[in-house]
Amino acid sequence: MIARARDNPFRVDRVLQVRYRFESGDDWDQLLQRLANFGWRAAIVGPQGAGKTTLQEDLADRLAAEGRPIRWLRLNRENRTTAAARVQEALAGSGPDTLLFVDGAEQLGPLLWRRLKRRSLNCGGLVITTHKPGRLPTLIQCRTTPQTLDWIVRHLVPPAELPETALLERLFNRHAGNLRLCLRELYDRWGQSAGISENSM
Amino acid sequence: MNELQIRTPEGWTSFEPGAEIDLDLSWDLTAEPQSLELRIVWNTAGKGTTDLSVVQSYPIDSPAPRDAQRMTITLPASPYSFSGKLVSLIWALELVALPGMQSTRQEIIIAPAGREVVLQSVVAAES
Repeated sequence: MIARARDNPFRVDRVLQVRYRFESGDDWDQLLQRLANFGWRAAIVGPQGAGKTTLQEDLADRLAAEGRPIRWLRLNRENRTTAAARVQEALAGSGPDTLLFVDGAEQLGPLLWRRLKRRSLNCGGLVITTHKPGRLPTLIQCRTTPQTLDWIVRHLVPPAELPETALLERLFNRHAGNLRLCLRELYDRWGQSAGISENSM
Repeated sequence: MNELQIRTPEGWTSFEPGAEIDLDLSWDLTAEPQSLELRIVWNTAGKGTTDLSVVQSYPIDSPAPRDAQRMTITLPASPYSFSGKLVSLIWALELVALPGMQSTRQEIIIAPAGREVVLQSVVAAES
């Protein structure tokens, strides 16, 4: 019996189809109003796996649909050594109306961050994701709950195959609320327990 | 109503690498498209980032909003469709209307004897 990746309900392309869900009564109208009030310069804050990037992508899609030009700068541990050049490139390619979206701003050291912060004043806005508050006014603090994980899993798995709530709570606690890690473990668990017969093809 | 359809011979979805097949394409679009394109694509799906590639494309120029056409295509010789626990490689035929990008997708298997290659873990293979 081999569990095919294509049949795994927790495969990455399916997970990415589940978009951000607001917790604690927030909604898009409030978020957009706050962003405007902050002069289009704000931070989406939260720990790893809390949905910051998902929210930032959804926000960019909404603003792009309204005709706002968006420029992305995606930073991570793997590309942080080229961050200075990429910051320069992003700034050079941003006009006065451009909203600059920086995912992973915690990867920027203090000097590079100050340069970006100062020079992006010539852009239409700056929206960053970062793990800790302080670099820009906090637009939203992303938090997760076991219910968030449950909600995502219900989008991915048919009702008859839903994992027990207790299992999801254990996963959530073990990974300290990091939904990305929870979903990766669910991918592995499905791969170990499910499968198809090679002869069934 | 925007509708695009790809029909494979006899409804088959599994083919030999390099096979020549006839496709029946049909479309019913509310607006006249600039062009239509049949694409042969593959993508990966699994635990990691998705890769994708458009391997061949066949344009249909100046199409009417509603029409049908038979097209003969040659499927690529490789890579084969395969699946393991971590990743699958999935072939598909896509009919895309430009510039609106309405599309339809038919997943197919391209592999020897039309059977997707199933990768076993080393441990499972040895036991």
